[in-house]
Amino acid sequence: MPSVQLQTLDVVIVAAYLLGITALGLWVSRGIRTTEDFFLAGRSLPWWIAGLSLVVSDIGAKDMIGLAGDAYRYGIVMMNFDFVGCTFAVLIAAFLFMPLFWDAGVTTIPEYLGRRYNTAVRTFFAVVWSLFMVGTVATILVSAASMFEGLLGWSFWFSVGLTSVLVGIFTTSGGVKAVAVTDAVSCVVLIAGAALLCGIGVWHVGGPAAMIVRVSTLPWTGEHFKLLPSASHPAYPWPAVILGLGLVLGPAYWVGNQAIIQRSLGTKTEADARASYVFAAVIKLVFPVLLVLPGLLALALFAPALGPPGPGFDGNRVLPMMIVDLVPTGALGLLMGAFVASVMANLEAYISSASTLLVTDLYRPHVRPGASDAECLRVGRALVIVLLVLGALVSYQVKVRFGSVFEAFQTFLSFFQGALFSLLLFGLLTRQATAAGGVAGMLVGVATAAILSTTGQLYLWTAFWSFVAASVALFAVSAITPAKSESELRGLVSGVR
Amino acid sequence: MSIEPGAILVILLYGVALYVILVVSPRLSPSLREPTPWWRNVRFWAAFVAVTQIVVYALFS
Repeated sequence: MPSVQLQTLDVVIVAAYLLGITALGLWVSRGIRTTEDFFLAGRSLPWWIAGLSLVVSDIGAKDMIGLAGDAYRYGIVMMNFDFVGCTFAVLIAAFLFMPLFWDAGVTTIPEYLGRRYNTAVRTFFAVVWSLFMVGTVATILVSAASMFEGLLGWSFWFSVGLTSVLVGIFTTSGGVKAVAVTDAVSCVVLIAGAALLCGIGVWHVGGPAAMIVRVSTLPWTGEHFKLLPSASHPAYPWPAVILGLGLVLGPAYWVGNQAIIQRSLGTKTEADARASYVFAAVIKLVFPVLLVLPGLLALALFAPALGPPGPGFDGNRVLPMMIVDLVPTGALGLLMGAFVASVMANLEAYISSASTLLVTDLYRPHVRPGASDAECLRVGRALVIVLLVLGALVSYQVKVRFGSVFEAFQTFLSFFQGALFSLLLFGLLTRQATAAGGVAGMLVGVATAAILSTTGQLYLWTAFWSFVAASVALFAVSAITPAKSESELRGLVSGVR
Repeated sequence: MSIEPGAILVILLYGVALYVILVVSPRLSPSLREPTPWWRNVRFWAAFVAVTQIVVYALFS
């Protein structure tokens, strides 16, 4: 693939963005003295900053690259990852689950699970989430490398190394507050960049109607303009989209993902936390269109060059090709800035959350129970570096094993999201779930996901059936084991205050 | 115009979301019962999002 030569104006725009965002992050980082400052922004985030940060913690480089590639492959069904898998879950989380997390006063989701069930459940999910976050960091680094390789001709390892160093400097210094504030700026830049790319693409293709006509004439695009494809669709049949994504993966992600929940737990009040979620949902009405449209535009403009999405098709090439061929000087700088913004925001979110989990749920309770706050802060900062190095080491495996970074991310999630959501849902809403039931649900759910994934099951079905299996095991074992007393459940279960 | 079964299910999901936003949430969080102008009312904006999604799936599925 040809690379582009950045012009002076583009370099100035990217450099100004990077310098500005670094200065902002360092300025915000002043006064970080406690783990609450580092991990929860001192519970001082305004709702609108938390909301913008939520959006780019969810949508980042992996989505820009991955959704464009998968939209080229499958069409507008990919919008369901936000319309079905996000907005519904965000609304339910904001009004049903958020008040409960605030009442519980927890820092992490495993901490809640530990209090609701037992230490085994807490430790298991802390370890699983941490491993998942290393995998996610790897997918984000692959996204960055794909873009830099496609646009600038940089090698894979140089791109991964440079991105890791930049994010490492940033996240070790400021914690969640610096991350959230710079995320807010990144979100605005990202929306502007994505809108610009879509605008240029639509102009090149001759308007939306021309795009639809061109895409529809291709032989492999029969269901590209159906939000909910037929039940025989090879990757996203509508029952799996609704049951796997809408009922399990989406709610689990927005209720149980530390990288997401941490933003809202860093706000001043419960009302601010709820407002941040609703603000994110409003933005999510538009954002998916801006991320999926480039894939369709690439189909209309570059199908002869990119070819049909069969075996061996590399979906990560779609977005870089669009940018190389369509975007003029100046606009390229803004787009590069938007992409760098999304990489940094996404990486920071996962790195800082993994560091929080490891310190709160593993280091403090198991490794050094008497550790001082200052020591935990030092460990939290050191872990940022460790996680980045691990993510970089895993990144090459992600690159060679998965067709797209978005697919890799969702596959990792499907292994444990069914079990996690079952434990959270029934733990938050019913008194009947017992500690032994929680352990059984956790083990059966994850084992089911592991078995289904080895049989080649679609990851949406894997998530759904592991949720069903975990729920059955949870209730079956809970029926024969003693439930916790009302005083032990106070503040942890809906209606027990 | 016919609506496909999948779209009906998604519309039902957002119907559930509307029920939670408008009926259940004021019982869980007393602060949501206080009168607020619509532009600062978080329940208004949440309901707006849910209704928009219902319209999208009714029209494009």
